[in-house]
Amino acid sequence: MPTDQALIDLLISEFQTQNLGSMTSAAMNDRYEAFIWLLAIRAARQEGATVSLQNVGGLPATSPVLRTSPGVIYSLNQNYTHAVIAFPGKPELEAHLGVQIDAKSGVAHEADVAVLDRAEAILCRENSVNPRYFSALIIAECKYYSTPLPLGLSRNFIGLSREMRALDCFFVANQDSTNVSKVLAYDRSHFRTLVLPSTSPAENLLHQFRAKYNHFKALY
Amino acid sequence: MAQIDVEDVIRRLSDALTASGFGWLVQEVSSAVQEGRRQEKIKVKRPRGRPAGSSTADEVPISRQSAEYTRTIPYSPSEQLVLLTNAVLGLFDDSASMNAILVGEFGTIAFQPERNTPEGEGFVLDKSSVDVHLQAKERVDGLIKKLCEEAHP
Repeated sequence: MPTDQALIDLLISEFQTQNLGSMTSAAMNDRYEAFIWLLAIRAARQEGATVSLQNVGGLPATSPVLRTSPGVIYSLNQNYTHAVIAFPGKPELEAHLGVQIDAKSGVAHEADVAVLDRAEAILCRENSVNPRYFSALIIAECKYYSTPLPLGLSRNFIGLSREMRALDCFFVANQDSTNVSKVLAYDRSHFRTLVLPSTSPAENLLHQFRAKYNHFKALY
Repeated sequence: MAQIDVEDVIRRLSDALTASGFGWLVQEVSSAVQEGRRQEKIKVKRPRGRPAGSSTADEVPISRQSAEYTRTIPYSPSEQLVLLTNAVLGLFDDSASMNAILVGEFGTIAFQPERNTPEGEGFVLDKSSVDVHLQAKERVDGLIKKLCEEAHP
């Protein structure tokens, strides 16, 4: 049987395996945000929408190019991709990753995942300005952690949801924490923890997103 | 294995992770350890009688003899090892499952920073990265399991 040092040495060689895709903290968060973005797209499809991918120039995108850092919706630095969500007979929507949104205070905040009114998004790209908070249908704050969630995340989220419309904001995380959940529940925030592929919390979040789309469809 | 050995395994595993570019994971675990395992509620009884130094004139009636307080429970060394090994397992497990679902939906996905900087390089997920990742995950699962058995025979 190998000693524990031999096992650790073997682990080191595994950590250094090539072609894993990046495994930094930032890259794990990027993957996680993309996964939640995908849930927002799937929820729209399940509610009857047609979803297509477009790049910032408005052309169809086959393989998405997604942000690793927050940016502005009108950025031309990379050919970033967003999803166009079309419900029959309703105003179109767009699902974005990591774009800034002007909040109630007039200060722009990053939304990890944002579903916005498409007319507003087009206007913003044409005029190089940020979309406004009331044009958002869904704003998801996504947190990927390898340990129980630190308490500070709940305080930050409550601050963000005060700046936007609270009913549009979702706190989504792969981990759990009794204290974070307590603080968010006390604040009546929308939150869903332990959200990972093929889990019931992911299904529950998908249903929460579907409820938002359903509400949107009823309004128009 | 004695408690000191568990702490030694934690230290050596943390050093190995840091040397392999996973210092952020070690830091995250360290922060979680500092924050404590959980908070528990306990009832604290008030002492009987007036507080020392108070007179009968300024005495405020006390309606309850006990009150509920919270205290933070720290992680034991064994729990810290579990936290660290679970963090490694979860990292490989989660990245493998997220890669698989994203590549399954979109084929190839490029993650690009606004501008290429040494701190923030982009990366690409495709079919080959999913396969390599799944194999690495299986091997890491086995190694961590053996390591935990060594630490807790």
